[in-house]
Amino acid sequence: MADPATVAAPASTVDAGPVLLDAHIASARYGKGYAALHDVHLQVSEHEVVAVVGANGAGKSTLMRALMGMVSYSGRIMLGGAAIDGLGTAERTQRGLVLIPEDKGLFPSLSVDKHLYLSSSVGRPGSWSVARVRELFPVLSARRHSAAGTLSGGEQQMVAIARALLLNPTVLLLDEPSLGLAPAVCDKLFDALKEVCRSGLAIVLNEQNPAHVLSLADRVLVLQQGRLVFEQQASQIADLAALARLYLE
Amino acid sequence: MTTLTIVIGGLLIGIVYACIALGFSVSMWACRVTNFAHGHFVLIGAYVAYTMLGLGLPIYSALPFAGLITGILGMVVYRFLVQPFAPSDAGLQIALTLGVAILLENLLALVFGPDPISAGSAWSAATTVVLGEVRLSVSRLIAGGAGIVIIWGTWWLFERNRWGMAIEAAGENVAGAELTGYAGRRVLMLGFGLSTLLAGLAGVLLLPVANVSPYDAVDYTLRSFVVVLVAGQGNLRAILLTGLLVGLLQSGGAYLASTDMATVACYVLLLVALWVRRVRSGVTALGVSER
Repeated sequence: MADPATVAAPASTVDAGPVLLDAHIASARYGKGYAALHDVHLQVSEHEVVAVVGANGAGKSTLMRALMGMVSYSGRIMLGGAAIDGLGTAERTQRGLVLIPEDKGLFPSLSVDKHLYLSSSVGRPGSWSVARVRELFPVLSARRHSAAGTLSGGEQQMVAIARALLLNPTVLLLDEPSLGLAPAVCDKLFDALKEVCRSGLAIVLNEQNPAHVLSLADRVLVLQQGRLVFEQQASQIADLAALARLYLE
Repeated sequence: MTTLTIVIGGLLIGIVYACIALGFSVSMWACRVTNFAHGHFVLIGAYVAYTMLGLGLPIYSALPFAGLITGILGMVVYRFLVQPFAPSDAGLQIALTLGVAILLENLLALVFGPDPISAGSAWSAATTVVLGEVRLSVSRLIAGGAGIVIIWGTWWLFERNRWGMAIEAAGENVAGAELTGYAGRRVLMLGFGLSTLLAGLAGVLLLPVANVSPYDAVDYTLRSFVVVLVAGQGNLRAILLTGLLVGLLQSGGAYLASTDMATVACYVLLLVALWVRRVRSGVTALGVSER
């Protein structure tokens, strides 16, 4: 695991576009329990994909949940230059900060079409439409009347991603998209995510698989016991083994 | 009275029962709240209609008022009682809503008195239509027609409208609804308000076809429970069919034996339905039938 003493200086953002998400979480905690995050600073610029990696329990999902206001935190979160700290999860989503949670957050008895309709009818105007997400994931057309609870894990993840894209997010937070999926399904999913990245969407990706991280990310952050201990441009990380060593050793 | 008259009359009352059960189902299935004061919201609707009649207004004018009053009252109950104290525990919800039921029952008895009321001759449309051998009161025909419109409207809301879908979604996964941009708890409060609104509308339709007293409310709640348990939650078509069946049992049973026997027949229907479901699930579990 990376030694905090050897933490590199924060890398500059990729193409120095405008900063869309600027978060400083001084601490985040569940109820009155222990603090799961300490002094984490996260900046995401336009068109940038930032990967957050770390061992289990490092605080990656907590960071995502804190950004969405789903756990109590102290600090400051700015989205598109405006503070969103006083807002609830739904309002943050409407403002363009959209999370696809680890458990996908679907509604088991609602059909695929209803998921897409719910999202598109509340989403902000933008380039993502129902037709476009169906083009990205053709299975959504084939299974349009199927209840989400009857879909395979991969199909459910596609519904979750499509639903999030239809909200036309400013910044998309992806929490462990490959969790529980077969390798072949995962590869397909990440191919689709590369398409999404090419569209220029800013993404924060929480992912364990180093190959997937390096295939998408512009910048990599390593969390260890709730603290940010390493930050590096993905292009400067030598190989998969080097990345895995950062958080698995 | 001919058999056909009894059957058609029973079916029309059955539509009103289906409307009452529909609100109960929205509460149980979409909002995950077991509301044992549901029958009391039905009676509030009936008493609003009774008050309108007393003021010399047509009974139809009571529909928006009754819906508004019961809908808002339902949201208040949800926001200040259910949500803070029993958002997901069915046992606590039953205890809590029983408390609301007792309060409403006594308030209704205090304001309107304990004796049964009816629309009686005060309702201008309380005449009879004769079609061959069939004699039907206009009040039942209008109640049945309005009931069909309410059931269709509820189906439309949950199948074609985003707010209906959002209520169903929030009932299944509040966090998921929040992450789709809907304030989950607020949506659930709206859903509960919709269920009590439906109860209030059904109460207006009930007044022309039945005598009601403050002490009948529990019976309507239990009958809704029977319909929802037999039909299955959220299955609007099955709720309508089961409501019709209960109406037929009620109407036919009252004609052939007595009102009490008709009520007993409803609960026998419940027992049979639960027994059939248990046998079927047991057979499926043994792998004998995959259906």
